[in-house]
Amino acid sequence: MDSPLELELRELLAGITPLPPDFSSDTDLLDALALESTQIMEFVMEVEDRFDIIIDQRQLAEVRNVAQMAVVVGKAVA
Amino acid sequence: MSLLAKFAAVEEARRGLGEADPTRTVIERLESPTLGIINGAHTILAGTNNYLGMTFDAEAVEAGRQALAQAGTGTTGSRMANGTYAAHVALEAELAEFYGYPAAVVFSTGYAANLGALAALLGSGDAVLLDADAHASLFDGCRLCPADLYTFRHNDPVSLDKRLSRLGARARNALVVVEGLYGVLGDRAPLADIAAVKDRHGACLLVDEAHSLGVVGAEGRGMVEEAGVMDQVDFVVGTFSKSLGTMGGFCVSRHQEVALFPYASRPYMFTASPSPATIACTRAALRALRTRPELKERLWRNANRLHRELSLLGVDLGDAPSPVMPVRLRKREDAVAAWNGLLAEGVYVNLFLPPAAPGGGSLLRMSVSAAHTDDQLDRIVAALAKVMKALGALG
Repeated sequence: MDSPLELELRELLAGITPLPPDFSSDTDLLDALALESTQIMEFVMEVEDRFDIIIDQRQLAEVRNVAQMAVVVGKAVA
Repeated sequence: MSLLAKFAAVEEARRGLGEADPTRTVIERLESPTLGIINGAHTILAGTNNYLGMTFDAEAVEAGRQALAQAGTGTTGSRMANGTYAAHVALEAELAEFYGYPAAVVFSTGYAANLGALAALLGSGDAVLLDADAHASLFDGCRLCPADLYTFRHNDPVSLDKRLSRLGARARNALVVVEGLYGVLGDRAPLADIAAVKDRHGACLLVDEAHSLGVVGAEGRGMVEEAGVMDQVDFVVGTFSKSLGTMGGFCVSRHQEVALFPYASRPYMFTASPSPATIACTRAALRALRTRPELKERLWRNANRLHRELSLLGVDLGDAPSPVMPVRLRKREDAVAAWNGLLAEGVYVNLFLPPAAPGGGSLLRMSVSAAHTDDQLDRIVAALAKVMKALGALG
């Protein structure tokens, strides 16, 4: 079950690239969705502006999916 | 999975580019700054960064020839060891004087200048805010450092302002990094607005003038001069490999501390210094840049003419004339076909496919040179007209 934060992140991601019907918060953004580095950067900037936060790119080194992104965002807004 | 297995995907992607792989173009012989032999055929070079056409400048060639005879083929060592000759120091003084700043540092390449300046500046606890469309060398330099790395939207001072605000007091330890004139789309940074934002937050600003040195500004000092921010910008980096037609890079600053960068910059320390001939050619080219304004005037005459004539044809170009001239295409296959078509017509340009081009599109990048002749410009326009018409890519 996706959290409200994960659903919001999915909505932002859908504005950058079409999401397949079986997309979930665990879907790998690089392997399964084949996001380019520029699209990931765009996603991060969208997230920053939606939540009025700023995310160090080093924090994203281990982020592979929306669920993991939600953890980073959750810490930043806390 | 072996260590080498990943190269199967690389090979597959390379094969996808077809027989004429743009990444493997060999210029078999040079006839002039703007004419070479490719695949045995005379080809107009419209995809170099030879903005002022300096690569065959008689004075620069002669200066290099003399330095080669007098100082040998190379320095064999680092600037920090045996690799600093009087000419390296003289070039640094000439660059500082050119900008009206107290000091400059010369690096072995433009790439090393970006890595080296950022490595010297950014420590743990600092923050760096990088324009999202910045060159790979700036991203690499930032990643080399322990500072926190953030990106802001391309050429968007509001996006920068928001992020500096979110940093709070840490903004005073922040470095904003932009290019003066962007090397893929040829668009200009709104430097006056960006400088005002960074001043308001007490941050520093570094501008990469790789594509704008000698190209814009009344004296050719780049976008920092044209935008009137030479007393606001903190660090300027640049390359000798484009408008000056040689190799190497530099960082120059209104802050005296730039002279201490060598002590804190591994990309400066752990590589050999530029060869004596390279430095001699660079000094001669810098003199030409300063004393021959007709080079820049000719460059802009050519850029304006090409932009006007291609726009009239309906080619999808950047908004404003620029020596860096992108030709946008709808599809990746069209861009590859256009690149091959132009080469067959005797015109060499650069091919940018996703994700290399900003915005995820595909484009051809043309670079205009002061050395392009009127006849060469005519032939470039005619070749583009033919190739783009065949692709149905004229508006």
